[in-house]
Amino acid sequence: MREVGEKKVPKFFLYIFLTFASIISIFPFYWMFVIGSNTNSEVNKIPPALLPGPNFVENMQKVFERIDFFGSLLNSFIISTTITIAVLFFCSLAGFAFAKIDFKYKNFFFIFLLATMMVPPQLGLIPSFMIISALGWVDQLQAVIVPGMVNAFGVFFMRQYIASSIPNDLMEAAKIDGCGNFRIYWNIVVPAIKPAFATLGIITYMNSWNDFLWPLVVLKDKSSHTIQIALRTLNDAYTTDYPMILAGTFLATIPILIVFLIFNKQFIAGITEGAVKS
Amino acid sequence: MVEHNTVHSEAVDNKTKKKYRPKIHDALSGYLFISPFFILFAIFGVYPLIFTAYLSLHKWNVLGEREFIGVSNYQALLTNDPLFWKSVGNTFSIWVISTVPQLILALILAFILNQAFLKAKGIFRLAVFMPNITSVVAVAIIFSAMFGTNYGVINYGLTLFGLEPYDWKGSYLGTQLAISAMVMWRWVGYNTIIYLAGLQGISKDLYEAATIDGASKTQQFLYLTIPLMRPIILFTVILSTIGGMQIFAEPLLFGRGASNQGLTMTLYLYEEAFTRFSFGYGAAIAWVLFVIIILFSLFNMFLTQRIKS
Amino acid sequence: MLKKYALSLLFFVLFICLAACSEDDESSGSGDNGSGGSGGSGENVELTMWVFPGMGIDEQIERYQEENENVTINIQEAEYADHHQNLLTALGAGSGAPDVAVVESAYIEQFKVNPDQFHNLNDYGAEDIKDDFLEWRWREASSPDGSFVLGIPTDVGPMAMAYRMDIFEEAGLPTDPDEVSSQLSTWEDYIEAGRQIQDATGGYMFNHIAEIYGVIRDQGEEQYFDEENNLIIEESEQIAKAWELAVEAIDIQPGIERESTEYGAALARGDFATVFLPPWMLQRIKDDAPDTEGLWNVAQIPEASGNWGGSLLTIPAQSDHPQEAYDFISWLMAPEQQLEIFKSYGNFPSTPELYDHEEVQNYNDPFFTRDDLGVMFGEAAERVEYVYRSPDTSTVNTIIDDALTSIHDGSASPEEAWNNALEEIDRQISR
Repeated sequence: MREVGEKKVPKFFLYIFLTFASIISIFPFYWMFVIGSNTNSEVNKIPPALLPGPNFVENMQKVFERIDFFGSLLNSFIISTTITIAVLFFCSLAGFAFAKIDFKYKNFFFIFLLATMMVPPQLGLIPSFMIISALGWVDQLQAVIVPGMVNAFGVFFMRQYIASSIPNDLMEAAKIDGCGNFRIYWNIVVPAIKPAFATLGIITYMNSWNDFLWPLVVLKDKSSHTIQIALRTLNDAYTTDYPMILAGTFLATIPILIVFLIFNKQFIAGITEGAVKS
Repeated sequence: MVEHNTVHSEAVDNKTKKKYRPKIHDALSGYLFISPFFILFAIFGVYPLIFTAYLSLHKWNVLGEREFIGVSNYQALLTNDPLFWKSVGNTFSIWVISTVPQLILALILAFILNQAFLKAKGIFRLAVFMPNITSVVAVAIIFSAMFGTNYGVINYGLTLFGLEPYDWKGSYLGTQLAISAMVMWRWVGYNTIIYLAGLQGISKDLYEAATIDGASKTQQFLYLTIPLMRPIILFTVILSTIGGMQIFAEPLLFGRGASNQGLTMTLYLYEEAFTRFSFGYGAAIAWVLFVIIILFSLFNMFLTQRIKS
Repeated sequence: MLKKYALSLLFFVLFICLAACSEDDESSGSGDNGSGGSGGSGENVELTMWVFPGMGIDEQIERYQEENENVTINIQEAEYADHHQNLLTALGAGSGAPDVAVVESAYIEQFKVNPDQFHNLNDYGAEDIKDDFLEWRWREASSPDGSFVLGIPTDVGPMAMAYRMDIFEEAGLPTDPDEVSSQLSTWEDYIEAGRQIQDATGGYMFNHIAEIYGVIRDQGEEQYFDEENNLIIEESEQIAKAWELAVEAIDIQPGIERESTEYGAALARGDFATVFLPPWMLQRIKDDAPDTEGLWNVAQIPEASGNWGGSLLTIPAQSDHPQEAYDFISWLMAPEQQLEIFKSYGNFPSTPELYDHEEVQNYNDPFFTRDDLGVMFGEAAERVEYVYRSPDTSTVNTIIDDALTSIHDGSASPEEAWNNALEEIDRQISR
């Protein structure tokens, strides 16, 4: 890390450091594929298998037999995409308001918003289920989508980002030109915070993709299962077929990988365009 | 105190950009823009909170009658529950072991990944973010296999170097280190990505000017990057405070250990409610936990402000 | 401004509460025709059923629907722990519970003490089929006086003991099942044999200290509570015996839990010479350690048997179709269907008449050497004794298991562990 500063240290070491960090980060993902492509007995050998085996397709077939893999993948896709779009819009709007618009009790509302993040979620399951049940949303995707459409985390993140990256002068100028607040948001703020959109987008997408605590309470019918819930049902009560579970998990990770690459492209586009100059 | 603190932070934020300037005054659009969050919270968030508060004054096993017992749950929790205090201690020590290095490492990684000369940025960025994409369940299986006392990969590695295998699951330090490693591994990349977004917001001209003035990379990092990143750093500090206080999945999946050395506050709350069916007591834990998180977040906010100036 | 907000917020909460309460009255059962109630044959009924994976009942349910065209069964599957959490949530929330819910044996007591949440199966004819089932299993499904029946038993998990013949031989122990049974007839003998194995091979006798404790504990006539739910842990002879033997056996086990990822590796390497073996364990050994084929044999567990696993099929009180649901589950777990499930999946039946059936009698697996596994498990099932358990039994179990494990970890002496456990038990069961 000290390498960064000392001018004499060749970039070579930087790359070594990054490569090392990357290997540590990727290894469990790789190992997931290793186990997912072997049999239980292969996995139980000492030293453990470190290379992919020949059983991936076989394990995948077991997964397909037991769960509606693509159906639940589609549900996850619908949920995550809708949530992400809604979150990006609502959170950036609210973040903009908190960062750049003055209104009464703003601090109170903001503190309140922060405080909501500090509530431990586990005990909310029963009362939240009562609400969903009263709305008649059990086994319907909106039971997961609607509560997730805007979150304190996103608002907070957008507020911090907008506060640090959009100069006030720019706002003043637009105001003098007669722009309304929404026009300022749409024409000035949105284009300037692309990196924030990419970041919040990937984080939101991934969170809702991997979430299971809440979905499993409200989505019980097989037709409404998300991929994470479906994958959990691969776990039998008395025995665990790790290769099958990890093969399924591996395959279910590929879609978010693709989503990441899409956002990543946006992200890099954001870099080259450069930030707003003051 | 709360109000004062934020007002102060606003002022600090604005000092970095010229002087304080009144922003746009427009209450209507302000309320309109923030309303989606508060509407959703009113529908889905308020009732659970009230319900939990109500429950915490009762003895309730979820399925039977509720019995009103006043503040007895709180009393028992605060005066006669060593396990709870143990879980508080565990949560804080795991938080320290995992969060502090995690944020520092993330900031450094982000700074490196933001360098113009760096090749293959996209690949490194993906690699670093990979842990967050990997599902928790898989992570737990893999980490408990890695930290296995008898046949874990890590102990296997230790023996290759002629060292004694370590009892990760049975020892205090071992369990906390393993859980912290899992937490760190999962969240470094996440924070890196957030910092990266923040770095994108800093004008390149400033770095160019600094380079022309002869500032080294370390100096740029310390005197340019960190101050300009304040809002984002504050954000990650608060976030990892809240997240760290609510660590749940990792100890649940890794195992809390026979001496409860990995028992965190939220895990305790969850077990109380969903394995022992003591929902009233669990609700009391939830509220105490809520207060602890608020206090600790304020403390950290205060600390981060201090470090800035 | 703030007041107005607070006020509207308050109204909103009220509204939600009202909505939640009014829902209760309508009672959101499943099925479209809310007429519900008794009789009901002929009408079209949809029954929602919650199960966890690996129950092996899908084909039979399919058959039931073919034979009863007016009944549709909607199976909803969730992972074991998720399933029970969902059931708890739906019952606690007062809505959303299914017509039929599986309750695994580890959860039976906690649900059984709240009979209001379930239909009493005696009201629908469970009395008549009572004698089809193992007596101890039926008593576990009922209230102590037998007036309330929570559910119909599915399979059972009677335990035998698998042992590695090669390791036994190396240690100079007999390898023939009958000789093993007679030489290892008490737990003291078993531990003695374990020491002999350790001296001869350096290997272990079994996997984890809490497991031997659990097996011995379940062989007694009483455990932690009497039938009035008074804590009698300090008076119970069986608990004292189980604890002492487990502590004594601490050096002949490596401390590997059955749920851990390491268990498979240890099994494959032959780290322990014996495995306490419910029928569902057979497949697991074959999966984890295929190379050990032919090295195993099976004998009875010292002193008595024990049970590990099995479930009940219950009908939550929220169901509008208890009679139809009862007709369905009593059919599903009738001996004929249990036989089919056994044939396809090896789930061991809870109806003893099947133990004389040739399918069970001839059940065997060359992997485990002896050719009468079915007979063994049948005998083991009939040797299981009924023990009273309270809703706090599993809480106490967890604390004791942890205490034993902490002795193994070296973080407490047996005395400290026991005293700490007693203190913690007092605190936890009072909540």
